[in-house]
Amino acid sequence: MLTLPCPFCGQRDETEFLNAGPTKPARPSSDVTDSEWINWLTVPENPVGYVEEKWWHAKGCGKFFTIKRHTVTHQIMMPEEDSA
Amino acid sequence: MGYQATIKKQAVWAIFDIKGNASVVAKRVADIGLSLPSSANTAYAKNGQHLCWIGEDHWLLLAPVEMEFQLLERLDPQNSSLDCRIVHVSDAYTLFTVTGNHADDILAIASPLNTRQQNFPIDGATYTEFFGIRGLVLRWPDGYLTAVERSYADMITAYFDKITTGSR
Repeated sequence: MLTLPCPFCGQRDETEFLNAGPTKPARPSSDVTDSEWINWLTVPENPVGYVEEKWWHAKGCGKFFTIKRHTVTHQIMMPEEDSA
Repeated sequence: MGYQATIKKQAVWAIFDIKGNASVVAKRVADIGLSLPSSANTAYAKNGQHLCWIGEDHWLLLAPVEMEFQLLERLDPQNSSLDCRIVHVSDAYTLFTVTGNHADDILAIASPLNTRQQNFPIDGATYTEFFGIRGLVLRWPDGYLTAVERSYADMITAYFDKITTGSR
């Protein structure tokens, strides 16, 4: 069972959360091609390794937060841990 | 074998949803003799009132319905000039108490949160998943007080019946 670290509530079961999608790079400028725009808008990166994604503690405190999740091991860390 | 637990649907309670800066909210609830809980997901209880810290800048005040009129006057939720948002939500919730020897076991079926004593403090109060929906769980003498959105009350009652009677 996946548990996620809510910044307010602490470690909680995955079923209390809703995935709010991957964090995206900054919106491209308006002169990009249609395919570049579609790629930015709809194609998430799926590397073997950590992805940064947003989660909503919908059935808990209601907080939105960002985590890094390993796509193979589901190991989770906060973005600031990575930069430390 | 049935569970040794008593589940009671409660009559209406006075409930207020409070959002705002903690220092501002602290001043407002001081007017009714309450302090803010010191830790996240706990409740400060006094004179039958329970002030639950349920989210960042978010509290839920539960009180006996006899206090509702007095609280409406003191908290003045209609006053839009106040610097925190107080909404009277008594009619939006249905409350249940789950008490008895097996109250922990009933909660273990209802919620993925470990509410046993070693994990959930004596003054614990938190929103969690409750039979698949969002519900408030508050520690209560010999068990728990739970609150769910009123439109789900019949569904939750049916779930409790299934658990306690063992029916499918």
